[in-house]
Amino acid sequence: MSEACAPGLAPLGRVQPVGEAAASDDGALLRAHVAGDPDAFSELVRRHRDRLWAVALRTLGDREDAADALQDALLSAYRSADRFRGDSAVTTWLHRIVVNACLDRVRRRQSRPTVPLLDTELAAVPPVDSDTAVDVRAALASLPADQRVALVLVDVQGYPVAEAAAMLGVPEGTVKSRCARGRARLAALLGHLRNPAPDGDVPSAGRFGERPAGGGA
Amino acid sequence: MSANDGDVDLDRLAEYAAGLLDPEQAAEVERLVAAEPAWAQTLAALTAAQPLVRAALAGLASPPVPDDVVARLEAALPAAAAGATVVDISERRRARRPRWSRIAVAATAVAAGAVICVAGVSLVRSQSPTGTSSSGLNAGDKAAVPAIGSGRGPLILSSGRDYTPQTVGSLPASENAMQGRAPQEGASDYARSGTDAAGKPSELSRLVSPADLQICLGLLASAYQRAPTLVDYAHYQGRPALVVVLSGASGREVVVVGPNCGLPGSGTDQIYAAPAR
Repeated sequence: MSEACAPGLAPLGRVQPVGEAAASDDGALLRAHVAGDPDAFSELVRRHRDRLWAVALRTLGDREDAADALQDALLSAYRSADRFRGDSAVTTWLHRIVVNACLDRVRRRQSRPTVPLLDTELAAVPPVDSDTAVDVRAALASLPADQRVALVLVDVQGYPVAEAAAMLGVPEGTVKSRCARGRARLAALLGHLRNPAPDGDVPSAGRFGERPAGGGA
Repeated sequence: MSANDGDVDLDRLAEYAAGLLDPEQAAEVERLVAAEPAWAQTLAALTAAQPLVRAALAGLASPPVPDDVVARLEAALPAAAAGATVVDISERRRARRPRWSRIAVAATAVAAGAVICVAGVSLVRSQSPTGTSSSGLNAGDKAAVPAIGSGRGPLILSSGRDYTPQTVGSLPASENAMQGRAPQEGASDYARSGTDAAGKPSELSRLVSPADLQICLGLLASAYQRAPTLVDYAHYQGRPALVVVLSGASGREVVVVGPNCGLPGSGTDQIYAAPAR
């Protein structure tokens, strides 16, 4: 799977490959933080906060929840930096902590059924053919969380599958499966799978949208 | 296989289209596609939709972190830094804190600093426990968002005074200007009810927490692009209020905020703002 989106599709702000030097600097900053440099962690956060914010915002679909998750995650990273062993890039480690904070929040939300899953703006998933950003956001927000976060990392943020797998702590095949299922579900929700022929019996978007959440591979 | 082969299994079809099924599973899907029009049509539609869906997702670029979220992080990390050097003094208090201000109860110790009493007005200078430089997240914001963890925080008063639009603009900018001033304030300006021993209105007790105060001040510094130099726990036209003087190269601003400053959904809870004289 060519996991990053096709050339020419990348909007402003998409993830650029992290150069070796930058990655090395991240490691140096984290080591400096552990060694007691009071500004090192802040610099690390300043470098990556926009990307981490994007992941939290698109995964949770709610600005306040995303801010809470990002704050929780960064505090967790701040406190557990001495346990970072360098098995992955620092940015991968930071993303993993943010993703876990987001998924924790999703699980807590699901355990409180009276709390709306989405903010009002995104609550309704209009089964229309329009693929405006609002429709896409709403459709994305309605996906099972595991599919949503995989798509956010791979298709929205443009990370390679291998890196997304490291961020999620799952095998690459699982990420591919979640992306494939999530894209298909989105295609249905956005109206791309409805009755291509006059007598066709392709199910409606609503039917797919209502299917129980599929697990990853 | 399911009881009805005509029911399209979208997950399985999606994995087939992505080449993720093993040969045996793929052969089964191919059989269904050949035999069932619904499967064939859905596969065709799915294949055609792939570039559209991926383009739509790629178009969900996010704006940078909003300023108020940056201010929250600016506030939280220095507080955490303070907490890391201090024994966790109150788990129970943490449990009662508003959700996103829980992050640094131990930072209560940060408020420990020189306490100067001038004619009944408590002056508390925030001090860093470590004497370190600013831990601001964004180097460009450091000047505008002095953290409690920074070496020199705002002067903190607890006058309990009841300000009006006429009197609030005349607050001094700093401790130096405060010297010798408090004794001249008229006693009638001071609210007598609902204040603690130090003169803080009880409604402002949340903002006594260094972590919560830092978040509030961080929001104000971000909004006005000026650094808080003086904070007074007081009243404004009879309402409990935090009066903050913000100073910068372009001048001084007095901002009056309510007890909910910094709470999620409340923003700065601003009541009044005007250039300071």
